[in-house]
Amino acid sequence: MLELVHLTKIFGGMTAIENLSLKVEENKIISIIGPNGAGKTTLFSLISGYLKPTSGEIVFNGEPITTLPPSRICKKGITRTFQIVQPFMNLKVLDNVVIGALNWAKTTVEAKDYALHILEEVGLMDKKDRLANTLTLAGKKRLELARAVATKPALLMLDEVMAGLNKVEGKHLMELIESIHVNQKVTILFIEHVLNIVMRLSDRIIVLNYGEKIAEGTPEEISQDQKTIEAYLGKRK
Amino acid sequence: MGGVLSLVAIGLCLIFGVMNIINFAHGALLMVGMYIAFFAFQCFHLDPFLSIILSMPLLFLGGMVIQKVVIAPVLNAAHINQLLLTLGLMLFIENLAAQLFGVNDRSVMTQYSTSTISFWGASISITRLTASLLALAINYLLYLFLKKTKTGKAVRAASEEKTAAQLVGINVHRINLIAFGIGSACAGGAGSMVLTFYPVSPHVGHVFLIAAFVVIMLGGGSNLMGVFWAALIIGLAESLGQVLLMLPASSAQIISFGILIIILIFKPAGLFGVVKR
Amino acid sequence: MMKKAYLIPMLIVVLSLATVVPPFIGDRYIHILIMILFYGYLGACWNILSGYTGMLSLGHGALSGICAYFTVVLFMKMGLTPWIGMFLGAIATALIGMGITYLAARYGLKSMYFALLTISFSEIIRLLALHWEFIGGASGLLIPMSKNPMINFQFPEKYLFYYVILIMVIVIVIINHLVVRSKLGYYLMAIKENEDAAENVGVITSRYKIVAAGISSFLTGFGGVFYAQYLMFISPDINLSLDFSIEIASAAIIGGIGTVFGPLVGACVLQVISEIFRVFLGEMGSVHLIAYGLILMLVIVFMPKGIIGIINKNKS
Repeated sequence: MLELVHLTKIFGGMTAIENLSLKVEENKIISIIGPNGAGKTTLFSLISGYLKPTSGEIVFNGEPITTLPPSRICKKGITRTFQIVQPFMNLKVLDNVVIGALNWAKTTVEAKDYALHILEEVGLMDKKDRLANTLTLAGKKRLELARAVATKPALLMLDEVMAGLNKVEGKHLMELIESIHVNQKVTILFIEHVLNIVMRLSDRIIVLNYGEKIAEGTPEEISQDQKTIEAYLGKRK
Repeated sequence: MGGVLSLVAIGLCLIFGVMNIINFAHGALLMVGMYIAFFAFQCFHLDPFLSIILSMPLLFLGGMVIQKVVIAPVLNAAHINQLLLTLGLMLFIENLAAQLFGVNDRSVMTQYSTSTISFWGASISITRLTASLLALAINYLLYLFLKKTKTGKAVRAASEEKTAAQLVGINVHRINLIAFGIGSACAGGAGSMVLTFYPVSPHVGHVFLIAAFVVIMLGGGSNLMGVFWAALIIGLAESLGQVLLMLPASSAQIISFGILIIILIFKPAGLFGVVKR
Repeated sequence: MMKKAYLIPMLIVVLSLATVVPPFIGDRYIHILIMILFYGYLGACWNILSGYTGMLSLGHGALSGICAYFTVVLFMKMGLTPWIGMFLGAIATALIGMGITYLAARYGLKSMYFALLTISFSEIIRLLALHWEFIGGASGLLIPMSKNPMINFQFPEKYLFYYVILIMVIVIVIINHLVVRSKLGYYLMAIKENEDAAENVGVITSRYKIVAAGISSFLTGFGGVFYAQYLMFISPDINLSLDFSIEIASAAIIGGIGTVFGPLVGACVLQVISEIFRVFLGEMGSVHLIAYGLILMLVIVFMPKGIIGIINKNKS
């Protein structure tokens, strides 16, 4: 459903993404891993429209979306979460999710109904009237996920959702992501540092290093891949 | 004009750099400087140029008081609140002045007010020339202060990297006070000089404030050198504009506004640097 | 939030008092009431753009002035009644407001930068009007009394103006209420909170900023025309000054930014206090602006969410 064609992004003199081509198939969970500075977040920003590529093309369901602003890309069915959570801090939890649902809902009533349904699913129902900034980090991450899911995306991109969470919180969030993937039939593309989660959830893994794709395959293949091990641990001499 | 403008703009810029606040009351402070010079002239026959020995220290103190009482409480508030606060301060000072001194234009007449000298055929008014040179001299002293003294270095450090400055033990609160004091003193000094060629009225500050905004935008935020050069450019552009487009003096600002809008739209980071967002 | 149960009877009482009492209280007090409603009205218009999206406009005075000039010039030069002229003026004003906001949205100018853009817009308009003799230059235009005052938006009695502005305020309160409840209201709140996040969930931020600016400037225009007809006079210093824009914004900020009733409450407080200032310090010129400046500073330091903000906090 999503296809990147020879994508390149250069900041000043630094190449963040170099000639990257990849495909994301429908209904899969695909993860992107790589050491710090490999260009993962840049890649998300390119796909979601916050950055424009220096060259190359992004095609979604057969349509080019390379030059569209984020809001239009969201309307086409792609949304993301941010590495540093960005809920609408001074709005109520419910209103945060309603704004997400208004992406497709005709009326605010319809949006509110759906938002309540999503809040139930992510387990924030009891906190729906609280301001977003009163939630814990784990709560904010759930909220951001809920807001993104409320837009009814076809492709959901998650940027390091586990970062900063403890083991229990992380486990809950992971289960939530899995259930969203199954219930909402959302394709998921995610960046993650916690490798055991990546190995467990992903149908396919893409490894980036210095903006280039150095490996791609199933979790089993990647765990055996020499280049990947080198990128993470350094070359063995 | 360029020289005096650079003094106004550098004062504004120092405050913006250190505290990241655009001080809308800066023009009002300049107006206060003008009134100080005006009354010094009226009561003690003190030459407006010499009255900087009054206006600068007084405004330095005034600036510190403003920082302490008005600005300090909102240092960490939203930008929009800071902006409104300084607007409130501006309204307050200007209209207080209107109440005390009336709204009429007042000007001073010195022996040299109308004399000019010729420079390659162009006649330049002595007052404007002296004002520019004096402003440049004050700028230079300020530059030496920031470059050579310990306090000056601390101010620059706070302007560039607040957190780091705090970490190495610089008392940021004290630096804020000093920066606001110096910034206000610059406005006051400029006011004294402006009085020699521009009549004072309670709202006179707007003219210079907007020009100073343009200069800061053009110069790129907290970059003092950039601001200095930008001031000269804008001063020149306004004078040239008046001559070439034959605009009346009161509407020379239209040129500044035009430039401001163009910069805001096409290069909000300024010509010489990066604006903190 | 305030309980609905209190709000509705309270509104009914206030409204019926506001309808019945004024003709009997004398011109001086009617004038104060008119000024409260007038600034409340403009504050509420300002609110739709700046209060809900957080884009601080300091050009609303000039916007209202543009519409006033437009309408008055149509009346004086072509004899078109202000009742019709003001709609044309408001459309022109809306286009200008949308144009500026388009520029700001297109080039990503936010908070302070938007404020600077609107200030420079406002001052350019003032300077142009100051030097354009066709529309009266610095001395402004005196609106001539017409033979059919009612048809030309001219009333012999102050309280008639009072009813006009009362109706305008009721309309703007309803519009504000509708905006808050609508999809647009949610979008604007999202824009104010975090534009990147808003874009991410499908809010086309530039479009809704422009829509808000359009509604806001359109309605602001009527306020300008009202003021002109009430004073029977327009001039750059009254209708286009930066101080006027600050006064409009102050009403909304002091009452409570981004709330439906905030601008009215703020206007009420400001007018009453400045009236007290006038009583004690004399009628002269701009004495009330000293009070504005003081109150604005106090409110921002001590209650950044305005008076309504404090009330809501105590209720919950």
